[in-house]
Amino acid sequence: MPEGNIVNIVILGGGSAGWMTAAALSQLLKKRNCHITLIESERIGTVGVGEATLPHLRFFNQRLGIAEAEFMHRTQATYKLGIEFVNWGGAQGQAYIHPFGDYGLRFNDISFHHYWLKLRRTGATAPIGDYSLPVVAAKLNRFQYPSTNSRSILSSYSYAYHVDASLYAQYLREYACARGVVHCIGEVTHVHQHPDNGFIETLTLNDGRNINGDLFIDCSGFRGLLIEQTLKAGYEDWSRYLPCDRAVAVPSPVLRQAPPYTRATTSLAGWRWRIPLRHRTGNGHVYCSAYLSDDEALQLLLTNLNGEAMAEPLFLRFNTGRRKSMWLKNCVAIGLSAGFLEPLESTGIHLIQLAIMKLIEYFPNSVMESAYSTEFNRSMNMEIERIKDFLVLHYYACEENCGVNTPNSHGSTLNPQTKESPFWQYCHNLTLEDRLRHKIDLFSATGHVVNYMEGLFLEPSWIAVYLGQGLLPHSYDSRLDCCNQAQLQAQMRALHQSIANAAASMPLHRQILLSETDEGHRHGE
Amino acid sequence: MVSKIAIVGDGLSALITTATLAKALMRLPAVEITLIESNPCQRHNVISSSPTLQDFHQYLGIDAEQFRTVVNNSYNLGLHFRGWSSAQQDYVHSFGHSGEMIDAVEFHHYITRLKRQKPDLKLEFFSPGAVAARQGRFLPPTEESRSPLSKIIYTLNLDEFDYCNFLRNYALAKGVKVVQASVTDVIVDNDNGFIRTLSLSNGTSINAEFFFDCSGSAAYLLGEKLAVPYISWERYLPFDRRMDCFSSNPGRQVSVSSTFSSTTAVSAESINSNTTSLLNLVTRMDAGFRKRLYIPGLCCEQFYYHSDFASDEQVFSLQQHHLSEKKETEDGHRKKVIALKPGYRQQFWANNCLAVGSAAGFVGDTIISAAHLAQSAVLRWLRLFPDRNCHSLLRTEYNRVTLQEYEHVRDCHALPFLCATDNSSSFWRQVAQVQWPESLTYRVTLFRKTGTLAFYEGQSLTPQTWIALLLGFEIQPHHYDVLADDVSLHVLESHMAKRMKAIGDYVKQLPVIRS
Repeated sequence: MPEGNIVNIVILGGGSAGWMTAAALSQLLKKRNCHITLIESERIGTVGVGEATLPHLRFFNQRLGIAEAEFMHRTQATYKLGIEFVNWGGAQGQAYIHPFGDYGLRFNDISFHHYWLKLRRTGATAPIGDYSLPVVAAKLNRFQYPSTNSRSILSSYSYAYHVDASLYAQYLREYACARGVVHCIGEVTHVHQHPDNGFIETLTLNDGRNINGDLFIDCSGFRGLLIEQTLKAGYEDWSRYLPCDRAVAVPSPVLRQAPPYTRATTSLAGWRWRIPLRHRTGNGHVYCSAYLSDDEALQLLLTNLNGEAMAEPLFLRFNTGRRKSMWLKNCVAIGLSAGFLEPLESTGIHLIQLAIMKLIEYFPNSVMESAYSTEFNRSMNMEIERIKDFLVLHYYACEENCGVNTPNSHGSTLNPQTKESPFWQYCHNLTLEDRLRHKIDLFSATGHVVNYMEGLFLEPSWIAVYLGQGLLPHSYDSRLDCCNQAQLQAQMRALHQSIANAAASMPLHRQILLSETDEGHRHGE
Repeated sequence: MVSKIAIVGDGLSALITTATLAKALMRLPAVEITLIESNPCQRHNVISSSPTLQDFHQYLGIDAEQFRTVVNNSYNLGLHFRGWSSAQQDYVHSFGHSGEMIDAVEFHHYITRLKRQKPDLKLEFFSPGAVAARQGRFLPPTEESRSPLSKIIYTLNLDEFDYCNFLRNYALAKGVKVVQASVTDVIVDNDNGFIRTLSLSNGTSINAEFFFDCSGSAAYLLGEKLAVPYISWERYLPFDRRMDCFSSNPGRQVSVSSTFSSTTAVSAESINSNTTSLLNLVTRMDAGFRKRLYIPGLCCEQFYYHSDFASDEQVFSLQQHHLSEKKETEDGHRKKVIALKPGYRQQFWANNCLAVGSAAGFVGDTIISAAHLAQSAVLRWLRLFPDRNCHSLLRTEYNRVTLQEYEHVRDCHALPFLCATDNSSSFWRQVAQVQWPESLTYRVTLFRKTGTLAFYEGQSLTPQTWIALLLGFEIQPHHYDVLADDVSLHVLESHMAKRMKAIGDYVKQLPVIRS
């Protein structure tokens, strides 16, 4: 094949993945004169369940030149400082927040959590979350933009958003179509491949149209219409480690206190999410069908809503794992077609964003040099494997009965006699893979966190989950036994106080959202 | 906690270890650190360092100005590679950045694009450090200097004797004990293999809870006593000898010849141009390579070669030949031959003993200095600070991360060999047959095909530095980032010209450094 530029790009699927890809390619490749077509099957009205994101989404929007105020307004977004995990371990009924920020300060080259562990033995310390500004602010339902002054305590955190994913997709659709993306409604009935090399050439739609492409982006969801059904890339199943395979979602009324955090609460065989948006609250229940029926799962979700359900429930099925080759021949899978990690740490949109940026970095020509796809697959795998470890940790470090005594039991008929959950017993007794085993063992024994340079979740995140779920190390950095205890306690108290003061001085998240809405209206008039 | 620590060894790695531990631990009560030196460095010698030297000194709390008055040194802005990837190769590897991103696209993609019109264009032209070094001009950046151009990253060539004394005095001032003796016996606990006691040649003995083996490639504690095997990487770093030849009267414009024999790989003209005392010259030769280092009053030429292909006598007579050609005074000429063992210790940390320096391994001393690896090793150990039992998982973690670092440094030092094209000598013909490590061939292939850099964990070099190296060794990417085409050729050319002019103007007003 002669070496030429990619001219026709075909995106199959119009969810978050499809429209994020279309928007990014239409903007970033605008001088390439590519023709971008997005094919979407007609949809039966989607439920605005809400989606929690990570701080990285801000950089995606920036790269596309999307103003934050407009984005917030159009997607009914709220700010997010972290995720609250309720009943995941530690004492029953306890909760911890995994924040977008650090704990305390490094002192004498020793990480803060060692000091905390040391003082904890004397009983003279507050929960570790009290030493993290975003945690304290989140609990007070307060929010403020981080400071750019690196010396200020107000610079010790980052933030993300809760967005209505279907509104975001809709917004990006307008954005992409304004930049020349052709939006095509139809079902693919046939995929034509090159007879020799198997490259995808043409998609035939149910109305008889043929869509030709040089590069195909498969955003068709779990089924992977191109990457799997056509190209047979293969799927690596992770359900042994991440056994949840269903979710049911339903919206409910707005939370008046506007919590600036996502909540994840354990249930009998999985967990429930709560995502606060401006116009409603997204709720869902992720569960394992081997341990819980759909009806039971829905009932557990509904009995724990903060009000009436605002729509019919939406059921989803999935299979945790990853596509063995996310980029194969001239087809790149982005979104659920590339693999599925459950939404416990809000990584869905992030992995879409990461794949899009890597695709642009490794953008091929028509020869499809395989070095690009090899490196794309290698680096995506590295990312996704590390996220997997972090997710599995949440399940593994849970207690065997953590989903049982949750305050969901009013009216529930689910095993009221038993104090056990076979699902959580399974998770707790899981035989871990070596890599994660090493991380957990090292921390349990010594308090040290395995560090890596690249990857989504770094030391503070691991500490949040380890300590939050009651995985307390047997020891801490032994140098701290030589410190002056009274001095250490005084320092900790001072830090505690300064964080409490900084958090109390922030405005309420609710007020920030209100003032932005007012501004939005003014701009709209 | 571990409070009694013994360090065994004579060289720089022992003193780097001792000084670091002194800084980190001597402020704690009941800590005792003892350095056991049998034969401390007596002669002046030149060593190179990496820019992390300044962070290290900052960590130790050393005043940079005062340091420069006590330890004989010279500024070093990088390495000057010649004759490796081709006879014409003439590449200055600077430590700093060469060109900032334009519109979120890495700078080197634009070089690849423009090279199609201007084959002589090099990334190096956009490195203020490289441009300044070639002209022999430099002014160390100060806290106040605002211009990004002025932030030239540099390090120092040091007199090893002075530096060792400096670090020893530093440690002594912090309360470290220094014992002049050799170790005659090592007493190991039969239950767990932990070292308990060292018997010394002066009749005394030392008990400790943790031992640092800085005894060189013999690894007296970790290798000999604890029987941790050594894994050779000699196939990737094909040398087993280094001959250091010193001359006391180096002129700034010393001409350098490049080969042992008459089959000259590099023409004399190219060699005489444009190298300065701000650069450490690294020249390929028929049976290895040569590295030249200056400090005021002393020039050290290090010949790296393999004993299968050249004898010490051959190397020495060639060196003498060069000297007589140059008609230099013979005062103070001396030579020293050091055996090198490229490779690594299978466990860097076993039981209660950690190897630092050549005892841990040797993976080259050019692009990343051996001193850097020693600093990095001790700081890593401190981050994983053990108690007396040295939990096995801490050792596993230390060994895992350290091996990543060693593999990474090995790869960057093997790159020049992989890129060498000349095979007129038997040595280089053998090098051409080597099966390089997969991580390196993958990195080189990906870069050649796509212009992008493969990611590996445990990076001692930044991605920008790798890119500069790969381009410096003439690995020309077939493709560049498509977004690099977004700028019009005219705009790009004028942008590049402006940058080069800004660098040129800045460098012109820097003072000339005399050696």
